[in-house]
Amino acid sequence: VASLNKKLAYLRDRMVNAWRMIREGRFHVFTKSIFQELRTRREAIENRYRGRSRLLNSRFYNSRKVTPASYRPTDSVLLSDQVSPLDGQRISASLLRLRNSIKLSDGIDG
Amino acid sequence: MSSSSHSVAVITVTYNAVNFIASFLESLFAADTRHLELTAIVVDNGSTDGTVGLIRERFPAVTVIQNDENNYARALNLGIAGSESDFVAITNNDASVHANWLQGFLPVFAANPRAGAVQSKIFFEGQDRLNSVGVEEIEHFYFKDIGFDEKDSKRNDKPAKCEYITGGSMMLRRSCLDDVGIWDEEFIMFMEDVDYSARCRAKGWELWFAPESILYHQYHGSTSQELCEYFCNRNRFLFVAKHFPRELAASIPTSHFFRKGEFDLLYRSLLHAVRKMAACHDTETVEAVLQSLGDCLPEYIGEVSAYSFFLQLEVLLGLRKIRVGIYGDAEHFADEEQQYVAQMAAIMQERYDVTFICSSDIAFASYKEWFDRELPPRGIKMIQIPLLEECNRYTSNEATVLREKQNPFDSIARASLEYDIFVNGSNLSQVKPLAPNSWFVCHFPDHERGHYFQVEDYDQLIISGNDAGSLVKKRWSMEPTQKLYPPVNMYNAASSAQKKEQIILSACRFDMSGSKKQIELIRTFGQMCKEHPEKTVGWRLVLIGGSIPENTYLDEVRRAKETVGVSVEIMPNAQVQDIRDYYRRSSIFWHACGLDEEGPERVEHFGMTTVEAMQNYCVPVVVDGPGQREIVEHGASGFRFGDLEALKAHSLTLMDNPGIRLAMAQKAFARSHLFSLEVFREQLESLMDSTEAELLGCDVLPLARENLQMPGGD
Repeated sequence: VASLNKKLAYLRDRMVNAWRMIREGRFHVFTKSIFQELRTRREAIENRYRGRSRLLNSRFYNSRKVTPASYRPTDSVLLSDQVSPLDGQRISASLLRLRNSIKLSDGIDG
Repeated sequence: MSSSSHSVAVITVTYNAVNFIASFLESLFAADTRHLELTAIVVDNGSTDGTVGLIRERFPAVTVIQNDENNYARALNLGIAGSESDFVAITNNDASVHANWLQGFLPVFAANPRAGAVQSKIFFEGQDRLNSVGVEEIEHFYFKDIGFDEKDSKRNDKPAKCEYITGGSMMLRRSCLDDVGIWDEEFIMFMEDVDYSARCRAKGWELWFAPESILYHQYHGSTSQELCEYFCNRNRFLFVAKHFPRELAASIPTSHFFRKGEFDLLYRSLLHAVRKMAACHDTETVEAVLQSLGDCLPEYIGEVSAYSFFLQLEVLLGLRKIRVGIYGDAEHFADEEQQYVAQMAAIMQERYDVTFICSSDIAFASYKEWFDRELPPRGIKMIQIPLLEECNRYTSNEATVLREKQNPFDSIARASLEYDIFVNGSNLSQVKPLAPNSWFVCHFPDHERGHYFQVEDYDQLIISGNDAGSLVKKRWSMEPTQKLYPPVNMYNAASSAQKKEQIILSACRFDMSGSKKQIELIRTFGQMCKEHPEKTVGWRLVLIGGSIPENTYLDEVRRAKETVGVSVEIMPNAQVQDIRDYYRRSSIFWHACGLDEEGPERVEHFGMTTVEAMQNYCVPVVVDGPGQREIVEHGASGFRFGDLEALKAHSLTLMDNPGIRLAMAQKAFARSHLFSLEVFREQLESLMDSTEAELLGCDVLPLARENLQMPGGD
């Protein structure tokens, strides 16, 4: 069901885009978008049979889990002139925690 | 505004633009500049085709600034810093401008006091189709030129406010430039204008399109499609990290790198992006974004790469020193390969945290005595390889693991993940490197490619001499990336060519296989003494070298000495000071390792002791083998022999002619510098510099490695 929902969301995004382009009279861009989508689909099929990635264990490459992002970027975080310096200890701890959370049991393919 | 006078600086950036810069400048100087005080500035990114000379010769009024690196954004900053005008126009130079190009901007600025930057209407050169009338985001942080490849229409006849504008042809108000600041040089090129647009708007400035200002662009006339794609995709991540950091993880699956399976470029670009984010945002934001990356990266690029990614970030963000793991499987005895790795470790630990990964006991305490070097005090990590333990071998042998169902060196591979640089100094080709950067040091490829062969996964394949290099090509069909001669440091200030004793020295391990030929040397010396007593009177042969306990070959050597009955000294496991002293005192150096041997395994691949002798004015008479051929120039800095008769003849020549010996000793000394510790250090530090640059995210770009040139503009 989750997979189907993702596919429907993707289709919905495409339709929103298509309607926007038609509404604005940008038929040239609309046509190009269709061809772009067809090309992307073809590449996806080709990639599936091209073999493994250069990096190890990319599940994306094996199982083709493509998750489109939302249609438009949402909340913009504006730059401030004064950026406070990073808390190195906190970031180090975060990075260590993230590394420890990665399961490497089948990660080495010697 | 239109009636009063304004100053305008036109800045364009060149890189090998000799084919189009002249027509661009001609069109610029032909443009309408009424009420304008025009300054033309060309910033050159290091052209090699005579662009600068052409400009200086044909357009002396143009100010030329030479950039010290090939970076478009930096060039813009240099140009802007070199101008003082009210307005600054930035444009590509694979273009020509319409007569009204400059004047066309001014009404829009006049009508809109908060207009910080204004873009031209850009056509494709020689066509009626548009290149750009502004820039917009389409989706997922991809941007496109508005109107691209479309025919011009009435809706483009009026000034319009834009979200983004292109740097292909824009004019900026000085007060806007002063307020927003310099262009972000980390973008290098492409999307630097999108970034600047966002920053302008963030400061409250408006961006406009001016239909009366027209430019004709060749479009990509100076940039390869491949380079364009690389920077556009890399810089998309930079842009997101800078302005929409919480969207960074979501922007991965829609990236071209991801969709095309170019995961190495994706990995690299994300490193750049996170560094940029850390420079622009607070700790809480950075932590949140890292967590979102932690949630998705293992799935997207694999667990191992994700692990490396977060490890490398620690270095990239300046949170710790670079960590180096050096794997050696036989650090428990003194040999050339161990000395090589020890010197490497000693130099690397001056900058980095170095840890030795060992499969057997390491004789750290002995290293000072053996090699006169202190080894890294920081750490030893012992990882025993059960298979090697079972084999009960003194050193590991690749052949023993070929039949295994699972790679016995996986534990070493796993350990390598904890380091930023993993150096495999064991010569074992089955050890898989998982560190972000890895070096394989090859003294000699012991076997053909076999099961679990992993050397292709290393970033650097370092060979210690030409012999190793040719065998690597033959056996592994690989090209070495670096040649680092072994570091030899046996210089002794007390040595001189004149102050020598009648000693022939041989310094070689007493190898159980007998490949070092000490017995043959003793017999040859015995024959020389019998056949030429007048020439050999007062001479003696000294054999020094390492030995393992209960060495049966050493016993045979001792028996040979007793049999021959001439002046021969045998000194196994001599102290380094004794060895130094013998080098100082000896006149001639003998080396016969590999003589009459056929298999490459039994031949000397370099021969550090020969260089040690040469560093002490000791004339080498050595076997004509691959390693020695690289060191000794026959008849100049020593002699090479093909059989024992030739060894005798060359040695007698030297013993009987002090003048020849003296001249050769001087040349041998001069030749030895090629293989000195200083040269080794210099080359190793250069390799460390480039590796460090990659680890720290400096732009040693994959595409740049392929000699793709970065142009001056798009």
